[in-house]
Amino acid sequence: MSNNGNPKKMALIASQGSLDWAYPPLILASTAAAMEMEVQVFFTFYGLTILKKDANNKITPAANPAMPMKMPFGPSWFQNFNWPIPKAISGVIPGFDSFATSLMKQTFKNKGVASLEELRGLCLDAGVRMVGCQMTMDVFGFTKDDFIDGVDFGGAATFLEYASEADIQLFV
Amino acid sequence: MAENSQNVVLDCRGYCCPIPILKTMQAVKKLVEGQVLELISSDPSSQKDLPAWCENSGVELIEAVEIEQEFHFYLKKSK
Repeated sequence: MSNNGNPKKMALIASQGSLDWAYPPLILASTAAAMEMEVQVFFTFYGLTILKKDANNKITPAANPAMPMKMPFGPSWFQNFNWPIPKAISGVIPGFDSFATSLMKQTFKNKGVASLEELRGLCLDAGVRMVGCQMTMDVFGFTKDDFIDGVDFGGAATFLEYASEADIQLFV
Repeated sequence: MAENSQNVVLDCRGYCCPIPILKTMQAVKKLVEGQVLELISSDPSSQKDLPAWCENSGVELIEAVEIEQEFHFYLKKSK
């Protein structure tokens, strides 16, 4: 995909660190790279955690009223059943988010959805430039050793310089 | 599509978007002149995504057939 011979460019900001919000930037980035676009993703605030070696991004039913609760095992009618778990319960049980996350990850696996780690690796293989927010790293006390190889670090100007010439800019 | 021993088969059945596209990109890179890649996908979005990707990537989509809810695409590098 090109503009007079130059590849099209896409600039993304990944600002959220829950599992469901981590997928869209990685799916778009890897696919754009496969479409021969040049891609840079700026990971900021909670989005920065997607790049951690021990990334453990979770889902939470809190403030996500549309989130289906599905069981990843059993016959298909059982798997497709949406469990009506009241927020008053899911919000107070310790470890509920971890439990819901493990169910969601298994459901993804059953349906052939790539894991975040796989997508992250595919992005790097396809030449996506991953930029971590230096300020976020400092604020949360992370160090460069906490992150996977191949990540660069920069600030707002790094992103804007790239985004100003990009054909697509999205804030996720 | 005639059987051709030179064809490379990429089986992406069971995988969702965007894996069939990403694996196809990797497989197309390895094709040599005259080779045809047969992609088999069970992801319904491949029907739209694969032709769109080909359009943008200089890859020729020779034929697309649906067999029992599986999608077979025959691809080769454009000259």
